[in-house]
Amino acid sequence: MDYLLDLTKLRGGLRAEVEELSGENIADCYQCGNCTAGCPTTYKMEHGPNVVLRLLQIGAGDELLRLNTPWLCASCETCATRCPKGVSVAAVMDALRQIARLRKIKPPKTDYVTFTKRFLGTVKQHSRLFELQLGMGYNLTSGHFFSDMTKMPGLVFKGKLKLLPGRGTKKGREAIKGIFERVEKLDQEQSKGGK
Amino acid sequence: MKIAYYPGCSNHGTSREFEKSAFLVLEDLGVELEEVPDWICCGASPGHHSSKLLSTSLGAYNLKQAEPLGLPVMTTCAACYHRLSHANHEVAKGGEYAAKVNEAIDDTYDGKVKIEHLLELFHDDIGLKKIEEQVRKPLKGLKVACYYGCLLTRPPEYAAVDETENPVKMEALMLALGAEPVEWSHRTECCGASFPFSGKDIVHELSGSVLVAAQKAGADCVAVACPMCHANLDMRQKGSGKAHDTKIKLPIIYITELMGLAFGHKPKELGLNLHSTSTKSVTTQVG
Repeated sequence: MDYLLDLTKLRGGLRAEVEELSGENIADCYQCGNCTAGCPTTYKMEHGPNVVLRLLQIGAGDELLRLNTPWLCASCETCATRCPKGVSVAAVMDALRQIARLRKIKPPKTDYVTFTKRFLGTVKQHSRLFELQLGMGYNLTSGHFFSDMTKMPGLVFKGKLKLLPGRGTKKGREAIKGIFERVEKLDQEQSKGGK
Repeated sequence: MKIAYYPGCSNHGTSREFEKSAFLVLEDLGVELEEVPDWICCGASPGHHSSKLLSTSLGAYNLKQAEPLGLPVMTTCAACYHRLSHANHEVAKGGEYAAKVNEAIDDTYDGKVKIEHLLELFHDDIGLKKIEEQVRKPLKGLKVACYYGCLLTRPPEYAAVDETENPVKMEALMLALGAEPVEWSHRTECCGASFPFSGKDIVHELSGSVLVAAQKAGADCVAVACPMCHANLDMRQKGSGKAHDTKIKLPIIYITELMGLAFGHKPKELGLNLHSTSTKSVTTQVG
């Protein structure tokens, strides 16, 4: 992929949105590389965390959202803890994932998005996680039909994988539906305002 | 002592032995729990991967439900602890974002309900002296690798169960039980818990490194205080071993199970029979 230094984008575009969502100042990064040195998943990323920051500094746009990199952040917060300038790269990676969702852009490996979607789907429906539905739903929609199937009977037998959802209370179920709806509305408004 | 309890989803499913053993040892220590009414999922990592506002709001809603109890909220899960602490951190700042969170939860929450992890409750509130007094069968000679993982101590701004790079509270707890904590390298490394289905190769790589390091340090078992860490380290040993060209067989035990054993409870009462990797080597050694 080619990155062109686009002077018109240096303070606008994706960078401004990331800064607003994450609360981090992208210009603070002075490229020491501490984040990348401590990152457990760099080995899988197209660009290490410090490079992501650099690309944002020089005006990268949606091409950054089309990488697996943001989705490979494990949210372990090591970078945020060790950054000498106090930049939470984990928060920046979160913001990139969040913006990608609002723009309906998916990474090359879609499994990461499928998992997030399935997880939140069961949570929204039952107010608490229903692990069996998550596992089955993920396998069916990701195409990894038999993933972990051999582990399931043992877990069911031990009472660790419940066959029915633990549905929480009626108040909780109503509350979570309301929260999901209002958050979606507010997120969409912010995304339109930010463009 | 009375404290509000936020179970989190895992404690009613994949980590039910954590809850089971925590209830037993907390009863021994005279701690009364009151479950947060109408609690809902904290959103965990999919929550903040999807929307920051969603994640903060789920945390704020749960803490708001705990507010009328007038008690600090304790959770056993590092991920729940992290999300609820994050919500407090964001809402307490006030301003436009806090107002948005209140709009999303259709309520007003000020970020003032205290949230703590079970390890803090044991170490800071109950105290090691009181825990020592309960020990009937010291875990003599048991070499324990204490594993903190990520979310108990990072980032230190709001996840501060212990010192961020060199936490010691779990080791102190193990010493109080008569066990021998080993010195090892991977105490705060990541196990890859945000990729339970979507990146199993990452889990095998990261969890494998943790397990190999614990084995090299001569540990008889790994002590954990998080259901996500436990699921990865306990359930994925075969794959982790393959990824690292070695065989891994290491019992992964919740801190509360080790406390329960030292307090004289039977392994079955503590749920030690519910693990994927057999815990027999530990229960026969200390039983």
